[in-house]
Amino acid sequence: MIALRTIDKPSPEAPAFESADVAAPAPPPTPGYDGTATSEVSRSREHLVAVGKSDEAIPAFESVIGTDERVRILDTDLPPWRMICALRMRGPSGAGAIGTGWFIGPKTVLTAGHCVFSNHFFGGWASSIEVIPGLAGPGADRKLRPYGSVTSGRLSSVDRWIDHEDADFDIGCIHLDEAKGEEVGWFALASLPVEELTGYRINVSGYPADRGAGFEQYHAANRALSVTDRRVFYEVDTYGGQSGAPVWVHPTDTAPPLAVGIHAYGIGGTPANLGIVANSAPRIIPEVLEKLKEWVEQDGGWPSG
Amino acid sequence: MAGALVVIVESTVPMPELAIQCDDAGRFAVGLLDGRFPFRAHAPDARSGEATVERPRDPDIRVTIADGA
Repeated sequence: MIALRTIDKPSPEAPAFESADVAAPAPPPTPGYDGTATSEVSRSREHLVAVGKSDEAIPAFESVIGTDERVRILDTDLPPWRMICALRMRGPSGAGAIGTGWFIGPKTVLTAGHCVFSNHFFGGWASSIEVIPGLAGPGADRKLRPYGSVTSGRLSSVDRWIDHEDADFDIGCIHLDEAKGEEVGWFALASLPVEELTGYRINVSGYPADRGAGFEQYHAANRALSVTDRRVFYEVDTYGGQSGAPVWVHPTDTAPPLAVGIHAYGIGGTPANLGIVANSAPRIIPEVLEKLKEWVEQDGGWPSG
Repeated sequence: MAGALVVIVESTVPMPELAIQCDDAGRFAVGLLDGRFPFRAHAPDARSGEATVERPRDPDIRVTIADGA
């Protein structure tokens, strides 16, 4: 069992939070929520989202693998798309970058570790991150930013990422002051065993740089190609800017989205010994799920009932 | 180009799928380990350009976004 320690971005106002070591066996899934905004059903959700398991790959994918299968989401004001956020990171030097995040609680946004802390991109912690739920295009129009945006500099990751930039633990968190998640909703989180996750149809949706310049959300789906102890590898088209996007499954047609990983790497991040061409995400293993619960609790937790 | 987004595609070492934003002078910076790194830059108007850097051989690169690309 791995003991993960939280490492928070140092704050002049508050001492660094350090959680106790955790060794949890198999925690139950966390609750998902569709949010208080309109309950209209997304047509994109009905027609695009992949459900259940499959033995065969949906035709071709590449980071875009083969034919680009990504489809633009237009109804980003509806669930689950509105839970997914365009991120605008700013480093201490003023350097900018874009990524993707997603709500896991009322005030908690999950993303890749390298979106909050990266020696390569920021020389350490990001200074601040703007979180834009359901962004639908460039401009300040309310239709394009249906839920506005919030900015935060309160960030967390885990020691395995901060100390070693270990790709298996490329996980980061943005803590918000505003409970934006109550409006847009949040994903349920689950730690599925390797044998259960294998073969699942995987969904990934985020804000790539090559299409829409990080202002448009694109979704693609395909099967989980390989599942290792800490990573899930999939034939789902992604691109730079989608780092931190949710990797989720739907056990059944009517089941809510169940997040199982955090998208982080294109095909260059797949170990050669696996012998596959795939994009990948750190899995939400039991130790990670416990850490994510701690982060949500740190922000006030989920509403009871 | 100011505002262009730069990504590293299919590098020889694992690199995250982050997109770096160029500053007002069209510059960007990223720390790299040794290896081969193909960069692709995307302009706000959807044009793009590519260049590859090999570390430690190359100190820096220029990615040109050409008209009509």
